[in-house]
Amino acid sequence: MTNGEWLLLASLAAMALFIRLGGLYAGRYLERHAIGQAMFNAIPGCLLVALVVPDLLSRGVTGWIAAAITAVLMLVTRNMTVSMMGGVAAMALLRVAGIAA
Amino acid sequence: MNASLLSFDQMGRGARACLVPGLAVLVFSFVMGALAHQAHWSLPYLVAFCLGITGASVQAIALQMWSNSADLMPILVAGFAVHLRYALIAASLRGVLAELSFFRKAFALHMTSDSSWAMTIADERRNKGTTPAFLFGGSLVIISAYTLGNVGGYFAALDMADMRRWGLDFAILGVFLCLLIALWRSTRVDLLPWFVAALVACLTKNALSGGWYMVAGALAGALAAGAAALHADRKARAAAAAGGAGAVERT
Repeated sequence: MTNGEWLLLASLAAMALFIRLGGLYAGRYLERHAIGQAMFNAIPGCLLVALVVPDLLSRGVTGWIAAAITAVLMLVTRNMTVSMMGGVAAMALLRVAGIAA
Repeated sequence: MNASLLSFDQMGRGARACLVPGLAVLVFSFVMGALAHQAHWSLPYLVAFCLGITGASVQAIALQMWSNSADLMPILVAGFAVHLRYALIAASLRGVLAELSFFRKAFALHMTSDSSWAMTIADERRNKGTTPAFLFGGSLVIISAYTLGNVGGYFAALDMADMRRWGLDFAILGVFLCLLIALWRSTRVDLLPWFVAALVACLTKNALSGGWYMVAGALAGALAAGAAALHADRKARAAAAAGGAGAVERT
């Protein structure tokens, strides 16, 4: 692992702790500003959407089917492990069945 | 009493509460370990990652973005963005951690995961007096499961062909999809920001190097959320000023 990669790890760890301590001590102040709070609350979801959508679009039909199965499982079970494994299994089965991509 | 993390009785309660989630974490982190092996992480690096940051989404982001380019900055920024929700998790634990010293607060917070947090909040609602040791005991179980699972998956040493055959290249995308579904609040609050985020990410994907398009999408979505909140706020003020009848929704 390069020095840069270790530095990344250290930075991520420091960042995580900073976020948590910040939330513990300053959470109250955020609650007072509706607009700031709206932006703050939106960031994690928006980042994940920005990651997921382009990725999904670049995959073929197998990816979309696996994604649909994952989504349905998550909505029904609310269990991340089960849903993820369901999508993974679907992907594996589709490939075994010879469906492309 | 509540100034200690080491009440074994309470730790035991917390640990038992997190046993079932811990099993799920074990399975899930096995996949993450296999992906880490694929990404050529060293074993010390993997273990340091598991112990240094509690939060599978950060590891998932790092693995997803690894070797997209030599630029590691987007991983830090994206990791920051996806981890922000832990600020709210920490804020909700203010009462539970109140009597701890600063360093114990920091340590307890560092160890807290989604599962141990959820179990602690549930215990607080049921028992009205959960302790930091409960949180700590549960957190120990989750982190142990997470690290052991990762190491197990790492040593399974699946190669790329195996990963694709077992569908494991879908794993991280699946995790993020599940997280999105868990994070969704309502159409009113999330639809516009998420649409904007997706649009901007897709449009900038080829224009921006490495993973920066994700950051661009996230920022655009957050700005859209802020704009929507501002608009709703102004509408509410105008309606209140006009003494309007009927329901006035505040964001």
